[in-house]
Amino acid sequence: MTRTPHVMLTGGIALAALVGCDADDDSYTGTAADAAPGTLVVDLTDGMSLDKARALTGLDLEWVDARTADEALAHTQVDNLAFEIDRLEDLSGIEAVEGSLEVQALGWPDDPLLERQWNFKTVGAETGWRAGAGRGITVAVIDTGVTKVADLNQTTILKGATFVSGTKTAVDDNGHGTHVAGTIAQSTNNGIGVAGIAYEADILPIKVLSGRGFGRSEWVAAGIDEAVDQGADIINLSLGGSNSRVIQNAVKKAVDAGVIVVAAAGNSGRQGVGCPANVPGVIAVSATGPDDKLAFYSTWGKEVFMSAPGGNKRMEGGGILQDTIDSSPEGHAFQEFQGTSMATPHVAGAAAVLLSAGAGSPDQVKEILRESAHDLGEAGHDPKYGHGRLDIDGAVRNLAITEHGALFGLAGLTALGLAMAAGLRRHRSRMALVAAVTAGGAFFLPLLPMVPSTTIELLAVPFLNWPSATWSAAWAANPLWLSALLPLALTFFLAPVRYLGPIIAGFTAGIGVHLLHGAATSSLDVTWMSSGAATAWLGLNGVIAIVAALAGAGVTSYQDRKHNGEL
Amino acid sequence: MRGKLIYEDIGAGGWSLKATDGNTYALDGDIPKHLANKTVQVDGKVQRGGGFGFMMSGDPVLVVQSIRAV
Repeated sequence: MTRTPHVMLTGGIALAALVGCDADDDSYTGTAADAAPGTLVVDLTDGMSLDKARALTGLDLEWVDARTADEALAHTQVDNLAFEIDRLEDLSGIEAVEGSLEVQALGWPDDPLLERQWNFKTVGAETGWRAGAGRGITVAVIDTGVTKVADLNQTTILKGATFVSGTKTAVDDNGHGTHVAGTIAQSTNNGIGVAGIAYEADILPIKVLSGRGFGRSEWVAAGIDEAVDQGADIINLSLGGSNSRVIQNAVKKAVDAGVIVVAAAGNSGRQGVGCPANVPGVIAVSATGPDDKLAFYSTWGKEVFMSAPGGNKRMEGGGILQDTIDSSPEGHAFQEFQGTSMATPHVAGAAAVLLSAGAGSPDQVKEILRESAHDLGEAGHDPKYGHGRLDIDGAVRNLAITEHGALFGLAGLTALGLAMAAGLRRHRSRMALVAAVTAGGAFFLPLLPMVPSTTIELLAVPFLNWPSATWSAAWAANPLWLSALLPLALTFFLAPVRYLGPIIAGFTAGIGVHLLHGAATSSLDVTWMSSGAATAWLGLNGVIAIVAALAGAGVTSYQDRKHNGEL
Repeated sequence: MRGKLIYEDIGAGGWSLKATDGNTYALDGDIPKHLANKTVQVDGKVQRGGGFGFMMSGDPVLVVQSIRAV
């Protein structure tokens, strides 16, 4: 992997902290570890010859490199580092002396096999890792089951269910399902193996395929129903077959319930997308190889929504590498697989990233995936690549700039307008402005070159999306959450507190703007409501929240005037 | 049914039979690896409706009851 500049910068800063690399401190304190043989590094006065350096130190010094001769940076092996450092450090002609420190890049993430995941580089997975990485999102893997192999050690694997006769749990007895789950949520930055696209997402394993990789249509249909019942936000179907009415019905119910369904187009190498990928509402995925061309095995057809890396093992290192079960003594191995089965979880993982990054609805996720896809083949939608190859980097940027950016700006403008209308003083207006844009979401944060943190991820999404970015996408769609209840409560109880007033007013305004924005753009799903009812609900509550914000700003303005004797 | 047994490196891997009747079948059964690329006699049933799985070859699924080299 080519480390990106910010990773190197971060690593460098961390490294500097670790080795005490302080420009203002040229002292060196030997440690117990130095009282041992090792490599001594001596920085002599610039321009000093090697003979003179040897004479000065009494050591058989060599230049660290021929190019360091002019800097007079030398090194040699000594029997007792601490003794030599103590002896030399105050000598005239020696600028610095220390034991050679082993330098190890502190990259992020630190999964040692990440370099072999060409597919993650292709889709720009790193941006997704800074945008929530699927936290709070449940992805159902309807497959051969999932086993918690070593590199799923930090991934939440839910209990799940099995519909395969003769099995009692959703443990994997094939390897396919575990590999698929790994692409979605392989434990990442755990110092082991490889990474996953949405490594903070929870995996819900639903076993519908036997240990030989086959299943029955009724098992698949039951598995889809079960995933919906268990609260899955996304369903990954790396399986297929001929048309099945019961599967079509189950998929329709899942889509109607607001679940994102992603399915593999098939591995026939010819035209003719199978079921369930050909069911309306499903995101059907074809496969590409390292060369960004349709993989030789991939099925194609008009139903293909988009493509994603599925691997091509005819090319060196061209498979998709994840951890899965095998018959070795360790019980697992990092294996390269290829297939549209492998492409599909890339998209499912990307959907989880977008939901955790604050996308408000499955339709919005689908739209962003479509708009951001990297167009391949014929211009626009085509039967081989659909709308194009998955681009997570572009998708996150799209969500941030076009959706949250607008919200950020609207929230800020509304807060300023309210502040002016209420006659708030300038510093109070600034407080309201900051609170409002915080509620609207600091959309630009995931685009900055920073190592992810929960705080940054939360601040980057609108406040009303915080539940889906933390614990439950379902709660984020609750009509009580998507209402003026909280703004009214905040205004009633906290706006009269003098120094909190402008903050509460701004924050409430930000929530109100988001509710109105949701009503206007259908970007917020409201549970139990039809589309029309949801629009009315969000619009009404948005107006109430704005009025509450104005009232809060008015209270603050009144208090300030009274305090200053203007009333 | 008689044909050539092929290991398909798709997903976690599977088997197909290029049958002498001109059709290709995805095989659902315990297949000994040493039979790969050999001509085999397979007894079994073609699954009604095609069957579901991760192979997704688009071929009908033949549930294997017995298989032997010929």
